[in-house]
Amino acid sequence: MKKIKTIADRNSRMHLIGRLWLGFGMLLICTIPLWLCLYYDVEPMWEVFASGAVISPMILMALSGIAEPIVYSPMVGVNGMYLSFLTGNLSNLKIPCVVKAQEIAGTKRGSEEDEVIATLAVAVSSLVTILIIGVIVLCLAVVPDLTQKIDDAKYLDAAFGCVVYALFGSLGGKYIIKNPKLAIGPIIIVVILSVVLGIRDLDPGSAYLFVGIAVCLVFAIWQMLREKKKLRERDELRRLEAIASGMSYEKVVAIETAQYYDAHPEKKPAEETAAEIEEEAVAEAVNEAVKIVESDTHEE
Amino acid sequence: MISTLSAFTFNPDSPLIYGLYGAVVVFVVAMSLYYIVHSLRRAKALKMDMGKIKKVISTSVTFSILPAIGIGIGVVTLIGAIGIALPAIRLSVIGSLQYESMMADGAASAIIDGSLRDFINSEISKQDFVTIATVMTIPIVTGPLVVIFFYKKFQPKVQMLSAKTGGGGVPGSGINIGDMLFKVVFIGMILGYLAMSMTSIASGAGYLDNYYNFIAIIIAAVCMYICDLLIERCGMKWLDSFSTPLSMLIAMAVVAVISYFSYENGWPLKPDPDEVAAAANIIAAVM
Repeated sequence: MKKIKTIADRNSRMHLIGRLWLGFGMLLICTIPLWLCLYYDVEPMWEVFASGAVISPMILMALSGIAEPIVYSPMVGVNGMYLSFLTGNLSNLKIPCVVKAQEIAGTKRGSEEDEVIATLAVAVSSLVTILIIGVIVLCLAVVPDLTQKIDDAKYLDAAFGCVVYALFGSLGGKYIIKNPKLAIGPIIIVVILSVVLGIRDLDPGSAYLFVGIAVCLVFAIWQMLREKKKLRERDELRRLEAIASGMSYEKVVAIETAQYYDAHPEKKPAEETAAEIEEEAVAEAVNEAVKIVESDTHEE
Repeated sequence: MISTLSAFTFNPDSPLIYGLYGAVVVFVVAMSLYYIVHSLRRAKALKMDMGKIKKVISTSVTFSILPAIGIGIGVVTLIGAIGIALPAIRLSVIGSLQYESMMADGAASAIIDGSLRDFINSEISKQDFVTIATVMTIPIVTGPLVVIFFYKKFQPKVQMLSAKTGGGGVPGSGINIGDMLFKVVFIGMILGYLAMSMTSIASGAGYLDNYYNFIAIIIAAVCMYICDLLIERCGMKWLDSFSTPLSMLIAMAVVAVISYFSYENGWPLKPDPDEVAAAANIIAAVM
């Protein structure tokens, strides 16, 4: 109970600190246009916000802003979420960086160690990005004609224009080879779709990321249902074997569970001590008593 | 790339905007350092292998350099419309080059009833500048607002869902939903980028530059495969931290070389929109 309480407290504290950082950060970013208005003594052309050219990308961004936190939250953890939603470049830098870091650390998905690694990866990546942008800005501001020189070096534009593709190519190949069941079907669908849209001169751009995730999700659900069906069939077979050998089904499951924990002792759940059980029982009793008192007070 | 020659009727890189950029940099650095220190303390408390932690940090540094340079060079793309400091601010915080270009283009279209290129070639006033800055800032707040107000509510549900196992009465059987979600999102993103590169080819198979993104994906994947072989079969463990940036660098170098020879030898490339517009103007004048 004490442990559970500590984890909940820590989680709540992480959210509070994250909200404060992100809240102040957003305040700083959002007031920039206001400072500019005051400095130049002009007002933005508000009618621009009513034009289709601005409304359509705004709607797209709003939808993406709702979907991104849900989609990326299992990957970056609590602290990583608050940091990455201030520093941005999630799909093209932070997420691949987290994936690589977790791969190196070999942490268990969803564990606290996993969260620590994700936060470290996002924070280090944010620092590197801001420092490099700072150096480039300094060079652009100080070195004369540098902008024009970069503009003229077309091969530089071509090379850095495909940096995200190179990044996903380097990380992606391994993932696809390791998960053929999950990847092959969606690859075929997405490639056909993208070629058809390309021929028709339609380019959904970054919306393709959500298309890819949606197609993969459909295949993942299908794969899980298939797995479930297979397991149900295996359970049936086991039950029949147990009955045939005169053993109960529960006994067979218990033996298999014990065999699994013998093979993977690290996955065996820690046994509760008598003191912990007693503490939990006391906490439950106190909670019940509080509930009763609360309901009585409410009735009065 | 958009031409950087534009006519500002004022200085877009005023001391104020550089001051604001400085404030953003200080804030992001402080936040990142806070989380690095916090994570290191937590790692020690959890008795995590500090050797691995060091490797994670060094890999995250090497891994981020090339994409960060790519983002930094993106500043150049927007200089013509909004100077140096404002794109630097926008690209240092939530957003991306793709988004910033899209919003700047949308605002430019609404202001002068033309494209971002036409906007850059016109006279840019203080009001235009402030309008673009506002248009680029407001729509991006949705994501952070969702995180501030709703993330605390749905995070435990996502965590609980991730901890579940789909099917299987015996431990170890079935599929862990968290693992599956992780794979779904990451493989989905890979497919998204693959689709973008395929669309680019399908929309103009005759132009060599439409193949660059696809070439980068394939070359990087092949290089990574070779690196993995060298690490696992030849025992070159030191390569582990550099395998991703090295694969990316080789892929980008191949694209740069192809691009260089394309310009040198006049291989077919997508026509430059500026040149197309200039040609259209000449034709219109002659007619």
